[in-house]
Amino acid sequence: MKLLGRDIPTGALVARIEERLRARGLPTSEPAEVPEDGVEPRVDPLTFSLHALEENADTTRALPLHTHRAGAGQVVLLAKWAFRKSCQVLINETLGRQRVFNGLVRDSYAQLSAEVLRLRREVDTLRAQAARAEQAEAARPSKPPPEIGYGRPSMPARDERSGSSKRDASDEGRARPSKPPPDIAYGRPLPSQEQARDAGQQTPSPESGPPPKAAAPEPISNAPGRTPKPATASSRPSPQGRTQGRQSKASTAPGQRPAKPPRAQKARPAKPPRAPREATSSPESTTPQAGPTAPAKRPPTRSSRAKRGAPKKS
Amino acid sequence: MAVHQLIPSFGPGDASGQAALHLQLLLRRMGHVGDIYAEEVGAGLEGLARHVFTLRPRPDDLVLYHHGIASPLSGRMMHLDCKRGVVFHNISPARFYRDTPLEHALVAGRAQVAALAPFMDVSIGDSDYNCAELRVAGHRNVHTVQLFIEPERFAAWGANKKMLAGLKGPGPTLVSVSRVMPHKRFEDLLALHRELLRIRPQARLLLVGGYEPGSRYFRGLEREAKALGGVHFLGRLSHAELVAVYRSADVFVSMSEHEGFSVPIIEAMAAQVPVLAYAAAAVPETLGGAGVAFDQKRFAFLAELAVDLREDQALRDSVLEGQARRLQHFSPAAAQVSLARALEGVVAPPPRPRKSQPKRPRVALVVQRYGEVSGGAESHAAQVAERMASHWDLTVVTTCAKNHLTWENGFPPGEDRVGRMKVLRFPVTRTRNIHAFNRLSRKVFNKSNERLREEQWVAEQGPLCPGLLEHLASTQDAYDGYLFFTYLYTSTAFGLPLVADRAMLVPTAHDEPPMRFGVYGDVFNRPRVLMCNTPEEISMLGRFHPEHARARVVGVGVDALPAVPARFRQKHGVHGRYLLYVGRLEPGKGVPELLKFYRQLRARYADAPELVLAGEANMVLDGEGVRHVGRIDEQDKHDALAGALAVVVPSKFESLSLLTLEAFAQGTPVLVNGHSDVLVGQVERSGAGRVYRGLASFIEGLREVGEARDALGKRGRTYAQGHTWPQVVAAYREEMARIVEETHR
Repeated sequence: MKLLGRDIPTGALVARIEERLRARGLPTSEPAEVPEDGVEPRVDPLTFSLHALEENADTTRALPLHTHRAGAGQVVLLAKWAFRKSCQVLINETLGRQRVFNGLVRDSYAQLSAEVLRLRREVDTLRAQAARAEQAEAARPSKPPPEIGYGRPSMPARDERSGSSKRDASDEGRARPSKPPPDIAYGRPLPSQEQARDAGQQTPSPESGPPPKAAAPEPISNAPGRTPKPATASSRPSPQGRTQGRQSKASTAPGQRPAKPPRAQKARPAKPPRAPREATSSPESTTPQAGPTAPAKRPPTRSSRAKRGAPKKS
Repeated sequence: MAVHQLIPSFGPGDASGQAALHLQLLLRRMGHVGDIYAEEVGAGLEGLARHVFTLRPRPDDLVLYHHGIASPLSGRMMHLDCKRGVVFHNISPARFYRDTPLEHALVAGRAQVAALAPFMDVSIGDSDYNCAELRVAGHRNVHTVQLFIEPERFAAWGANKKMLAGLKGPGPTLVSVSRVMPHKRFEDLLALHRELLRIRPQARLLLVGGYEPGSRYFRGLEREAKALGGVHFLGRLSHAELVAVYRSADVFVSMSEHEGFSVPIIEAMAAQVPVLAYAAAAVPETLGGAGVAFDQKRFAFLAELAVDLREDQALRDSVLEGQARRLQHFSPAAAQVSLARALEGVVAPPPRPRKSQPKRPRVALVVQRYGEVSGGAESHAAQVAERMASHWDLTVVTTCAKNHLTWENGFPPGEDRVGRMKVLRFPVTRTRNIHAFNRLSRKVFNKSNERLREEQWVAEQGPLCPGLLEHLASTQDAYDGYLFFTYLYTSTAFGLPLVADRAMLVPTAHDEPPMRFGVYGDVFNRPRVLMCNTPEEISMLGRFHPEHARARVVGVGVDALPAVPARFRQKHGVHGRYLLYVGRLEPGKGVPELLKFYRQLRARYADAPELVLAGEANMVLDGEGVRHVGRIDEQDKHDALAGALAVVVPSKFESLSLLTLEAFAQGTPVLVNGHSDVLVGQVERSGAGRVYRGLASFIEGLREVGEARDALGKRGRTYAQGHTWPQVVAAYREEMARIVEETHR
């Protein structure tokens, strides 16, 4: 047991209290493992949102029953439970289209986020190449420090701790082709200096192997007092691994367009399908997958429908 | 450029709302104007925070978003076309809320922190701990700006007396303040209480904070607490009640397993209660070596320690002294230094006037209303403006309001000319409901309040005029000095801090409840000089704001126009002797009491003089012998003053009665309300009137004044000759010259 405080005689105070405890016949202090407290880990926003969309796309599924009220709250809970039990069919019918819509939102988000991840990796690779090219150049005379501009600062902004300075907004207009642009962090944690050095030396080219992952799902800390480590590129799962993990849940093959949930109305004549340009252009582009709550059977894809109020197609 | 703040919810008892208000205060001190925008605004707080849909930042404005639990505002934030910053208040770990509706919102909140990172120009954490989380989430340009506390709000005098009496007991009394949530570990507090009961059977545990009566967690705690005895769940309390609880406690205890800062710890320090806290997350950082932190929850040990902290006086004193030292780190001044560092390079400093000294100082005279309006302070401002116009390059900066009760825009906005003066008028954005305002006043007067309530009152007092504040903030290079009139209104309360280092204030203050509000501290403490009207005003300022700026008595000059009493009598059909009051006719001026006394006088004495009331009426004026002549011009006023038996001044709240001085100048004695120190002082120094404190002294005073009118009037005339404009003008010029010299040094 440790006491912390500048204004107390910690040793004497602990000894005095231990003595009193001993006199009362109570166990005194023994060395114990005190969990080291650390900050909470980062939650990757793209992955989190995708999982959250998957979990919540099916509007016919009930949320967990909960109340913050005493007394009447229990009655409300019972009423909610009874409503769910007796009216599930009605709920399914009412929220059917909403479920379809949510599925589309989820799938679109999956496509877009996969594309963002792919582009991030591509930009990282290009930056790394530019950095290597710069290293290869002869030493250049040092430049005067940039002026402070009070326009919107460009990334990366100055860090209080690292002391690295921001690029001046006015610099953007100047032509400096030989200087590589700053790293784009995309909200990822700052690597340590060693990690940064390693990354600079070991950044693979697109041809030489899998590029470092820009933002990957991270486990959310469950253990109290666990010391989390900042997520680094090397600690994240590979995109292939993640894709495989998602494939196990999927009902469609990679590259295919996702199947859609059944429609309540009779299917309209489908337009000729668009060429799946985005879906097939990149090996990393994750094909939108149906979540665990997606219906098993899906009707053929409907590419568009007339807007409400628009002239009907003949 | 403005620095706006965006917050999901703005209401009482919310720590991030309080942080937003505190930041706004610091930003004003730094010369930056800006509003608070919220998705949900608490009832009655519309004057302080606007709805998020009205947020329209300009490209060079900075918007600071207060982030905690998941909010759709984070998405909105990323799309704002301006500079962006986040103020991170931390998020409770989701592991404490498995399978509850809160779990998702907590994780989503963390995902949003990471998503915001690349879009932020500056990221601010309340503590280094929060900053570490921001860095882990990918933020750059991360700075710690600690929250601050105003210790005087936790002083013993601010405690709710009833609650304080109710909480008296043998003790020891432990207190913990926080919402009843699993990660706060209330079960550990109960375990500590159980151990404490073994050695001190009369121990009590006071638990302050909101709770969900229906939650399984709370019901479990409640059962356990009942079995133990001596545990009180007090729920959410008003500020005065909270102070009473702190002031009743022997030790403050925190068993929380996660704190991003812990405001209650510094509140306990401010209330002089020793802190005993589990060293989790940011708690050791907040304590900074003060108080007592522990790393293991051995409840028998902690119970003994709590007893020592209460009963070992030397230990207790030492801890309290250390806590008092630690509080300096959480002072507004220290927080302002941190904020200035954080915003360096992100926000341009306010413009400053040119270096070369001007021939004539460019001065902005800021007053809530100007032009054809009634009101003592406003006419005081107009008189000073007219006389200073030949010495200064003067611009009157004011609102479009005519009516001080509703603040409705009566003048057109934009540039105007009143006499020789350039007048800039800005529209008022919110009218005042005087009844709702009076209800609020009853709620907040004569008790200790948190800053939010006082700011709410000031905002409701009005006039809310964002254009005026923006003008002050954005044109700081256009003026060498500022002259503010009247401490009470938002034009001064929110405007003066923006330019305090070049400001003079004519407080026109008198002993009224808002004078005690800490929110006016900046108004009295930060300007360069206070131009007071009487010595009584300065001594009163010293009572309520002991750290006020340098003050001097300046007052006003009195011009006695040549008067012809018969002209007034003829014009208004007044034939007999009459008592006169000129000014706003409203309850705040003591007119109802005057009418009441006058009716009783009239009932007792058949030869009682008439009561002539001149001015704008905001109340019913009736009764036998009462004559309301409406608003009268200056000549009429002096004619009326010269012919009156006596001038009666019924207001309890006066900083300087111009009416009294003008009556003296016309050789007319006065009968004044004895509850106003200022009026009593004026009568005592002049010897030209009488004071009343009730009906008897009103009648007696009137009789004496009537009998010795001429002698008293002569004394009054002599006294008025000591109040001349050349003296007043010289004082204003001297003070402004000093400001200009120091500004351009």
